[in-house]
Parts: sequence; structure tokens; C-alpha cells
Amino acid sequence: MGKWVASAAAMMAALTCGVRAQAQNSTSSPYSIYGIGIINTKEDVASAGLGHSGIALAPSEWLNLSNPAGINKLDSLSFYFNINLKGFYAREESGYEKASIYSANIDGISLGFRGRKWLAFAIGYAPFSSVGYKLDEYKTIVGSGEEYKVQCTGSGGLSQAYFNAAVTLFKHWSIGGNFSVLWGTIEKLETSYFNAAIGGENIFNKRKYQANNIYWEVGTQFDFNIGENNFRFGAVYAPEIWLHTSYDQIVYNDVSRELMHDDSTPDRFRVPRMYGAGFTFQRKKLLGTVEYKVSEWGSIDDVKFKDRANFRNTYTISGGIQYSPGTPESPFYKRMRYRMGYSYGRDYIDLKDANLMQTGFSLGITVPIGRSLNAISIAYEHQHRGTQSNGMIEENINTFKLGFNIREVWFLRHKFE
Amino acid sequence: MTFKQITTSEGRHPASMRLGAMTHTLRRPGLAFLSLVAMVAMLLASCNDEGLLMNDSYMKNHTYAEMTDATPLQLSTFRLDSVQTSAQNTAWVGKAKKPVIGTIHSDAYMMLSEPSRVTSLVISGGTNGGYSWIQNGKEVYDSCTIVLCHSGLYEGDTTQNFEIVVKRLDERLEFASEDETAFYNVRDFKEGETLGSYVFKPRPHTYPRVRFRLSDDYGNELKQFVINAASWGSSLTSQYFRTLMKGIKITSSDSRYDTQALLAFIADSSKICLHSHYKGMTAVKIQREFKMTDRATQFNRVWNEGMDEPYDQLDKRYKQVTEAEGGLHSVEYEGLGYYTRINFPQIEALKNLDEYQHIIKATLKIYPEVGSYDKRRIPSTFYLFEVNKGNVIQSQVRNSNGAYVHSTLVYDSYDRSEMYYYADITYYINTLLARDKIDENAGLVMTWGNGMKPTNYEFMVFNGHGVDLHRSKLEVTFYNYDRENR
Repeated sequence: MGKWVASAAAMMAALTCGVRAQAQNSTSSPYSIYGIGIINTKEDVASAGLGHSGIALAPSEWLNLSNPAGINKLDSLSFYFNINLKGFYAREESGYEKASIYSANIDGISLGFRGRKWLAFAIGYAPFSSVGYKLDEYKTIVGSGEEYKVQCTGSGGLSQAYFNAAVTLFKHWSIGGNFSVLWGTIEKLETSYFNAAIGGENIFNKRKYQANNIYWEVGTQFDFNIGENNFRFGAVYAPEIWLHTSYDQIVYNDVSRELMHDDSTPDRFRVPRMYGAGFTFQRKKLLGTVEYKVSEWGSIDDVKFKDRANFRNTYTISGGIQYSPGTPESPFYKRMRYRMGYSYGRDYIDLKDANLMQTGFSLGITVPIGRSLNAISIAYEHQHRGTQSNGMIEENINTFKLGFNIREVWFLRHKFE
Repeated sequence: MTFKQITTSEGRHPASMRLGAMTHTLRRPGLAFLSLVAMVAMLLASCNDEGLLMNDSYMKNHTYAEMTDATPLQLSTFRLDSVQTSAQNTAWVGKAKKPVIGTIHSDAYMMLSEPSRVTSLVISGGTNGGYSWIQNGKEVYDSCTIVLCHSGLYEGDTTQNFEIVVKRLDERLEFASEDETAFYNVRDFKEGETLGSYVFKPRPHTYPRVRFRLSDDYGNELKQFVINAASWGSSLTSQYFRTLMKGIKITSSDSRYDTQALLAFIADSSKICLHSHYKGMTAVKIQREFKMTDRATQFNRVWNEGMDEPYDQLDKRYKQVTEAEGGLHSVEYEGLGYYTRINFPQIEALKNLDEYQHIIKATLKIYPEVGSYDKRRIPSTFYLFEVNKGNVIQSQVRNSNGAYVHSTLVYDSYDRSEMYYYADITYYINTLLARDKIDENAGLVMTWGNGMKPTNYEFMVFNGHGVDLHRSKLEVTFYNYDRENR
């Protein structure tokens, strides 16, 4: 019981820090200006090293939450605790100028264990989407030709706290469900700076969205062996949902007064239907995985956002390989795992009918801590997104992820003579 | 005590038996580790530099700003019954013909003071520092002159002969009671004989001083005053001088010449000089100066005649000639109390703006009519006062910082072909619109000085809102903001 209390307290503390860190997240991507921002995943750092692939993975060393059924191979004696940190440095070019942004944050916290031989659980917290941008533009006053500066900033995002259960129906077939509570606040501020020649007033147009709802996704995995070769197939599905959203808009200036305040009109965001399938092949020390994911953003016809940008279905194909040279009894350096991956896909934002493509190349490594089962996973990804054509932004993002895979044996049954 | 059996729920052997011992050592470090992670995360809070500059098509935000000059504006002219012309240290003399308001006449009134010292006189090693006239026939009266210094300002045609006439006043130039603290342009004082006159071609910049002789009778009066003053105390001296010198009037109105100019003189540089000389071994010139020292009572009597219609109807302060009645123009000549009033006839419409609009700037652009002003000395600024329906000043217009609003003269430095006055009245307009009820009879009045006390005698005609070219206007810049689910 003490273990549970301690773990729960630790998780709550970490979760609190995570939420605070999420709230501080002020940089994400200029493309997060649209909708609910850049969608994040619950993936572990190990998955990040495999090109964000995890639908067809069922590791016993870490919590794979890319597929709700992906925890079906957890060790029954172990209690898993993962905490992931993320830092990124991005170079952005708009055709007018270049800018660098960097950020660091908690990327997810999760714990899991196997409750029964056929049942595994996980709970955790992870960012669901993130908004962070600071963009400047110069507008012209209609009728006079004078220019004034407008700065748009956005921050916040949605968080998710989830409960994941995976059931092993038969020896080679598992299904899982993930039930999340989504909540969060997105703040968008548009500041118009009118210099002294145009009145000297600064006007702030601030919007604050608060969204929440229940979100769920299901997944399945099936595997079989042929000789020493293991084949695993996985699939995930998440339905489209509406987020209950309220908003508070206030327009005010720095001279005298509040110009408008409206907090009465309810609003809604939509999260599109998402699905994907993957395949993993494993032979001895080598593992290879590939998957394909689709998000049906194209079906969203939200007028509010469509007049800013069209949405289109996204697809991502990704894959990676992992090399595990040793066994748990091997020397330290042989117990390390090495990964590399690649992803290619189209973003959900459709600006001026241009395909906004993103590609990423990742490297990963898992380093065991001493002779324990604990490990530290590190992943680096270089991602390229967008283009400078048509007035858009080209991003080169370098992401570092650091995952602490804490695994303790809690479920030993001692028998005494 | 020994371990008997260790199995997992899957029947598999755990990763290592060593883990059983490790559990005790890892549990506490694990929690400490989490705390460390949390702190690291806090320390790594994000930061960012300046925003990335984008073109406006990327963000597609719905806010925008627009400027319009379609807000109706109406200029009109009204005339004060009288305007204060005293205490301005400027003596306007002459007459000049102006469009619309006819011929302007001005006479200057001023009071001189007894001399405070004797100059250029050193006798037997001592200075004659009093009023005493040197007796024994040693000091001889020579002449009496008046000196007037141009201020540089003038109106009308200075190529014509100008006759200036100096008269003494038979009525003492002073306030009638303690309640009277200023003289207005309609004030008059009974005049006496002419002390002197002078005909000249005005050259305000070439010859900055005009000096001419006054009558010797008057000079001898002053001489006798000086002789008598030797036995008076200083207060008695002043009192007697006031009796002798009630004041002077400088005019051209009844001159023999058809003067066509208005000339401005610096009042406190004006003086009457009593000239004499001392007959000693060598002749020593003596000059006693009677200067204008009382600015408060120095004033100009200004009037006009031959006004055009409908300006000749402006006999009451509350009467106005609208720009429509006045040929799409308004008039400003503060020396005679002509002021341009600005009305916003549809200001109520601004109050009923789209609820998503906010005025970020409201600018008055008032265009003088080309040719109605002298480009070289056009006043650089004007002030604005709120006036009520009866053209009574309510308050001076201020900006959001509490400072008085004044205009800026904008012009093309090359040929000054387009000149206009520019005044930011944003705060005034927004304050006006914030009131529960807008008084549409309220308006603004333009003044060259900081009040309805003329400091400038410039005549100017302003283009109304109705003219086609260079029309006066109110430019309003709106910020249009969007609203969610609008």
C-alpha cells in the first residue's frame, strides 16, 4: 500500500510540475496558430527513436502507449514509471527573416503494471496539443497607407490524463483501450501597435479558450512466430470528437479602457478521427517496424478556422530499426539499445493549396542504469517542416528527448519455509 | 529463512534475482530522481526572442485599421462682441482692406511714464541724476520727438505713403474701476490735439525705427514738468506727470493720405524724447526719455467697415455664418473677434459605430485658402477650445496626457503650395463619444493664441468641408476588431 501511496504522490508531484511546465510552453511552432495547435503523441522516447513508430510494438522494457494494446507484454513483476522530457531548438525562416526558438518541457509521465496475466494497465499524463508562436506582421491602414505592427502570440495547449488497459484475449492477440480526459487552455493575443503618428495606442485582442472532453482510442495487436522470427501487426483507431469549449475574448487598449469583453458564447473545437496500422519484424537482436497513420482533418468544416487555413487529411509513414546486442546479463555496453528511424508525412494545414510536408530522421539509444532494470532513453530527431514559398514558414527542428524508464520489481511473492 | 520459490504471474523467471536486493536501494532514489526531474523541467522553462516577421496572408487575422475622411465637418464664422487688445505689447496703427470683412482700422493707445534718469549729462564731475533742469540758462531746450520701433508685422500695401499721427489724450488712460482689468478693441478715449505727424514709406525690416518730431509746445510742457519736478518727491512727480500726460493715441485714421497698411510697433520700445543741450565749454547733448512702461493699459482700438454679406450680420456673439452661407469658407481675424468654429454635425453617428470599431485616431486637417495668407508669416499653430451653442468657451481641448492640443502646420517645403493645419483630437472625440448624451450644438473654436485674446492679427480664410480641393476635414482612423462566432 505504501508503494502505491508513494508512487501516486510522486506522480501527482510530477504531474503538477508537468502541467505548470505545459502552461509555460510559449514556443512550439508557427503552425500551431491554427486550431488546437500541434498535435502531440503519448509515445515513449524509445518510439521517438524509431521515427515515432509504436503501433506494432509491444515491449516489456518500457511503456508503449502509441497503441492502447501495446502494453500487453509488460513484465508481471515490474512496476513501470516513465517520465519523458523534451527539448527542441528550431530554426525558422519566413522569407523575410530568420528566427530561432527553443523550448524544454515535460513530454509525458506514465506508470504501468500488469495486474493479471491477461490484463495490463497504465495511467499517465501527456500533452495532447501545444500552441506556441510569436509572429509579427506589418499591416497597412486602409485609406491612408500608413503601416502598423501586429504581433500575434499564442500559448498553452491541451493536456491529457489517460487510463490505458490492454487485454490479452488469446496467446497472440491483444486489444486495448485508452480513455483520456482532455483539458487545457489556449491563449491567443493579437497586439496592434499604433505609433504616435497613428494615435500612439496599443490595442490588445486576447482570446482564451478552455476546452475539455473525454477522448478514447482503441488498438489491437496480433503476433506470431515463424522459427526465430516474430511478426507483429498492430492497428489503432480514435473517433472524431468535439471538445466542449468556452472562450473569453477581451479587447482593450493601453490608454483608457476595455473595448469589448465577451465570455458568454460557447464554442467547440474538433479532434478528427485518426487511425493507423503497423507491422514489426523481430529476429534475435534486430527489430524493424513500419507504420502508416491517417488523421481526417479534412472532414473538419469549422468555419472559424477554415477562413484562416483549410485543413486536409494527414498521413504519415514512419519506420525504424532497433538493435539490441546483448541480454540482461551482458556487460553494460551490450545492454544498450540502438535505434534509428525515419518519418514522412503531410501536415494537416493547407495553406494556399500547398502541401505542407514534414520529414524527420531520428536516432535513439537506451542506456541501462547500473545492473538495474532502470534505463535512460535518449532520442534525437531532425525534422523539416514547411516551405518558404507562398509566404509560409520553413522549419528545421532539432528535438531532443530524454526518457527515464524506471522499473522496479514490486510484485514478488515471497514464500517462506 | 530462505527463499523457496520465486515465480512471475506469467510463470517466467524474473529478469534477475539480484533485483530483489536492489528494490530497497532503488525505491527512495527513484522518488528523489523524480523530484530532480521536476526541477530540471522547471528550470528549462521555455523562452523566446522576437516574433518572426511574416506577411499578412499567413495569419489572416480579421482585425484591420481603416482611415476615413467622410465624417462631416462644418466650419462657420462667428464674431465676438469685443476682444481684449490690451497688454499685448503691440501697437497696431493704420488700416488695411481684407476680403469679406472689409477695411480694418486700428489705433494704438498707450501711456508714457516720467523719465527715470538723465542720460549723457556729466557736469563738473557730477551727474545730474534727477529731473532738475540745469538753471542759469545753461541747459537749452532743443526738440521733442517720438520713437516707434517696428515689430516686423504689417498688413496691407506698404508701398504707399503712410502717415502716422500722434495725439494726446484728454481723458486719462486708466481703468475706470478695480473691476476693469483690460481694454477691449471697442474701447475709446477722448482725444486732444495732435502732437505731431509723419509721412513715410514703411520699411519695417529695412528701417526698424520711426522717429519724428512732436510739437514744441508739447516739448516745452515736458520741459516745464522737468523743471517743476525738481522740488517734488518721486510719488508726487508721478502723480503730476499723470495729470500732464494722460496718454497718447497713435493713429492714421484722419490722415491726409489714404493709408493702406497696418503697421505693428513694439509698444514698450516706444518713447517720447525730450532733447536739450548744456552750454558749457563744449556743448553736451541731453536726452530725457518718456517710455511706455505700463503694458496693462496699452491697447488697440480696432474696428472694420464695409463687410460683405452675410458677414455684416455678425453683430452678436451667438450668430454664425456657416461655410455654406460664406461661400464654403470661414474666416479668422482675431483682432476683430472673428473666429472659425468647427462643428461635427453627425458626431452622433460616430457614437453609433459598429460595436466592433474603435477610434484610434481623429485628426483635424484645416486648410487655409491659398492666397488668403502670407506664406512667409503664416502662424505655425492654433489651439482648440470647446464652445457651446452661444460660442462661449467651455474648456480647452486636451490630449490623453492632459496637455493642450495644438495644431502643426504641414506644408510642402518646396513651394508651400499645399498647407494645412493638423491637430490630433482623438482624445476629445473619444471623450465626446463616451458621454451619455452628445451635445450636437457643441463645437470647437480655433484660436491662434492660448485663449480668445488675440495675440496674432493674421487674417486667414479657411476652406470648408464642401470645397472640392483642399477641403478641411476630420480624418478618423478606426480599429476594427473581430469577435468570436460573429
